Amino acid sequence: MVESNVYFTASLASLIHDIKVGKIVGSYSISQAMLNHFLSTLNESQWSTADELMTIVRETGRICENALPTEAILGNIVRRMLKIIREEYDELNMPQEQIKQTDDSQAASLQKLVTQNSEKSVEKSDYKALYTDLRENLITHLTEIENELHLSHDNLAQQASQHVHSAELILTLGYSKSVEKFLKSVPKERKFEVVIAECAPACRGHLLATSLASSKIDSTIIPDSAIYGYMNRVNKVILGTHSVLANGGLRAASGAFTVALAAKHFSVPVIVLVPMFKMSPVFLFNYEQEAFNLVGSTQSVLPYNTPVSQQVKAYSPAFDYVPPKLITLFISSAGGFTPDYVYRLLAEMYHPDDYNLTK
Amino acid sequence: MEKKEIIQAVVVADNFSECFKPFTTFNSPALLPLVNVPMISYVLETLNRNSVEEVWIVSSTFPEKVREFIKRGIEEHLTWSVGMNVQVIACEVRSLGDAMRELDGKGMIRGDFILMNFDTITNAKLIPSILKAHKDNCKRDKETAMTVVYNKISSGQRTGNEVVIATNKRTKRLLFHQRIHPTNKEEKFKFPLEIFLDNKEVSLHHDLIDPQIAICSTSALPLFSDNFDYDTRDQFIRGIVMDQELQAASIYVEQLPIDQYAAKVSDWIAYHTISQDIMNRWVYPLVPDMGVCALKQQYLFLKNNIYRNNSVKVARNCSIKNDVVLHENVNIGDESLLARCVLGKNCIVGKNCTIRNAYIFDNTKISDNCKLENCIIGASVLINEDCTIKNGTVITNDCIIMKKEEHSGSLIQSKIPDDDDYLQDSFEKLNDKAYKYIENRESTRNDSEDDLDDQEDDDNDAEVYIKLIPKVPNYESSAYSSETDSDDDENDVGVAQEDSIIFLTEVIDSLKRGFDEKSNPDFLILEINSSRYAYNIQLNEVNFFVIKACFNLPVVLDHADALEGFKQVYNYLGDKVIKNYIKGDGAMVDCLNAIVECCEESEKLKPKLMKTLHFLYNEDILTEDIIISWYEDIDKNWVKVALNKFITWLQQESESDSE
Repeated sequence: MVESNVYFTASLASLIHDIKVGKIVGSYSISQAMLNHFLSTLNESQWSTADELMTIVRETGRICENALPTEAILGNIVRRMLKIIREEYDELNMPQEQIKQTDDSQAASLQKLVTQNSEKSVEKSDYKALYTDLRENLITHLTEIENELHLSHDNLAQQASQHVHSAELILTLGYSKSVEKFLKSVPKERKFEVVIAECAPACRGHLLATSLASSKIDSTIIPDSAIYGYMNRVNKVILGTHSVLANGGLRAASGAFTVALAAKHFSVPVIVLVPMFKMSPVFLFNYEQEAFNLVGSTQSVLPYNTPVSQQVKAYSPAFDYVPPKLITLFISSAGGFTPDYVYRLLAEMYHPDDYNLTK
Repeated sequence: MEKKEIIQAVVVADNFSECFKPFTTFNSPALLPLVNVPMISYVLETLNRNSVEEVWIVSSTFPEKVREFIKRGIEEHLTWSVGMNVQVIACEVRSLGDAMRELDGKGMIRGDFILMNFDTITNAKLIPSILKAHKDNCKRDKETAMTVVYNKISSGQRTGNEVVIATNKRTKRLLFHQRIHPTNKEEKFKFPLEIFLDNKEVSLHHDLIDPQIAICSTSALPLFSDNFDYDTRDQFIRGIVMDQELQAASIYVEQLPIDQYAAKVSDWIAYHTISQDIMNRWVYPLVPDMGVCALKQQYLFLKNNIYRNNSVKVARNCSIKNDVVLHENVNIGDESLLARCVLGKNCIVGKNCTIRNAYIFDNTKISDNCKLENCIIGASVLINEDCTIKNGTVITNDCIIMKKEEHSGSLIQSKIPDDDDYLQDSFEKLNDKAYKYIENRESTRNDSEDDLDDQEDDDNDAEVYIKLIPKVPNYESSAYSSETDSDDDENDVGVAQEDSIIFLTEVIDSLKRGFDEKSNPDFLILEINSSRYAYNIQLNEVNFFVIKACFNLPVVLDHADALEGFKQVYNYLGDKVIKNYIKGDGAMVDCLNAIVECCEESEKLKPKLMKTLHFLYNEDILTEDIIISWYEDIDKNWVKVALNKFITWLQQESESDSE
């Protein structure tokens, strides 16, 4: 059993516990907590070389993925962390004359990307050399990432004026922080209307409606069953998501597939807001795959006290898979891109060797 | 800033019944696996999710095993170990009441606490809503001892956990409580008339189940200590609710919201139902794939409620129907069929087996062509080829079942315990590793059959349900029911007076001995309380007699100046004993009446009446308002005369105070 694992520290246990029992909720807070955890790992753990640190981080990622397989964000932060360790190490490790060369090669990045693997295999470093500056550099880099995370919602929201216009009818589903901020930062003089599918059984759509109403945005709640009926009048669908898979598909709140299909039928554009940390290099290959879905309490769809409750099987899945062909545009902090482009962003953000943490 | 209050909880790790025998002969019932996790984990996890910070587990059977489990859990960072301090108290207790008295003795409980049993399976959110309700009750009513939490069920179930209650509709104070007997199909319940006379609005409930969750005030523990005949939670509740005059305490009721689940694993039938409920995700988030306990996901959740560990090997042509949990390294052979069952770690199932409604613990091996239905199989059991095991058979750890055996409704254990309870000849030896317990259970089994049919007619698989009903625990046949009361009433009058005289002499004896030996006043209170229950004396009578006894002590009687004598007694008993009884307005009136009666009996004391009252008034035992209002009601002339001056003085005093 993993229990003898030295990497399973008390602080990690309490982080996982807090996420598990719902003390830390929402992807933003989770990633924040994870970054803080790594920051303290950098400072407090026993490590001298980049290789040792990477082992610690990788093990942490593995434990998190075992404990909370549905929280893809944890894995993403771990991959990001590994990537910056590699970068910082390479920078220190590289002989002076080569630095210039890499500067040039960054420009020709597409070609570099394709050839990257073969090149790397030749001069693959073992990350075992000792550098005293490494810790310092990593902390600086990590703080940058934290800032980036901090600003991710704002960066998204700044683009709102390009996408939402006057007199438009926008449809969204459930509650997403990104969507909330996005809609609220549309310039006040533009009058638009929002239709919110309540997203039963949790009905978090109600939260969004009250929040939008308090900032004087016209909002209407509709039951999930009315999504199709409303769609012909809608100008745009704006969704948040739990994570984006490697093929550009979504793992989003259940109901998202209904929305996307209806939008396709009426040729309504579907815009998905993704802060960068939600991009995961994971594919869906099977609906029964580990941790694709999370099935919630049966109570929420069928009361226990009904006479039939023992005779029927009721499920309350939390997520829907939305295939990439139904999505018109992703908006990230860096700007818009199509599902086809996801592979490219992933390659920029994570090192290919880190895609699979569990191995 | 206000200091944050720590939320404490007490978990009783014993059910004080024999329903899980013979498993409980070799291990603590708290560690009996339920869907592959020791049962107590569910309670701990629930408490943890309710952000409880300190938990005491009171354990009397195999406490070292419970302690070992807790220690290992903390090392392994199980979910409940994070942010929660769990401690095991090992003590020899035979009932819940004993456990509570033990806790009271240790004095570790500092405030309101949650009281639960290890066998309560719930996803209730007690905090903040129910805890707040309890705190509000306490604020309104200083005598609140407990807030019990009940859960609504669909009516018609009979598992022995259902209750019929009456509450005050507005305050939710419990006024009547009766457990529904699982086999006597009562159709009528008798409520005392006073309930309806004393309360404006009463609500009656008959659709509630008692999952054994309660929030207790600090005053609950001393109540257990004072009344050492309270053994079970029911006796406690009944004691307080039915004898409201006897106890200055009250109990309130809260209901869980409809979307929260709570049930008690009271016997094997409940074990089966609750296991199925867990697999059907009614108890979310306490479901196998969320990792009850472990901070690690152990199962994949697949269609039809199949939970499968990654390391499980399942032969290609076997069929796994529905509601199945397969733990680490389970191996299932060709052509086997599994439905509604749980398999523990490292279990091996051979070829062509059928397993339905069965619970199989870790490391068990089931050989080819076996048929297992409606049974519980312990850990490390070996079942050889071609066996049929059905109808609620329970096989405990380490047994070996030989080829082609057939068992139906039997209890089999691997060795004969040294316990006295078990007679050697009540076992039939099957082989060195299997002894069958012989017991005439035919009658109970027939009784239960219809019950189970009602519950389970949904499932064709479950034609033969787990029938093993262990002996139904002896529910006290409603001792407090109004019938018995009315029958006894006529005789009571004569007896009651005699009783009170004996009681008075006993109190005098206790006080005299205590006074002479200068023993601990706490013991005196205990002595008085116990005589009080022996003679069934009401609370106000106790107050009356205690005061009377004080004046009838030899010290007072023999002293030249009776008041001086009483002062001596008071110096010793006043703080603890007298103040313990004489608190509250009613008690003061009792005290005054007692003094007057003493004066009438003793010529020596009579002239001192005013001075006695003045002394007690100075000692803050009596208040001026009570004395004055009592004085106005009294119709004895000599008292009026004797106290005239004192009362005038008191009135002046109060007037000057108010100015």
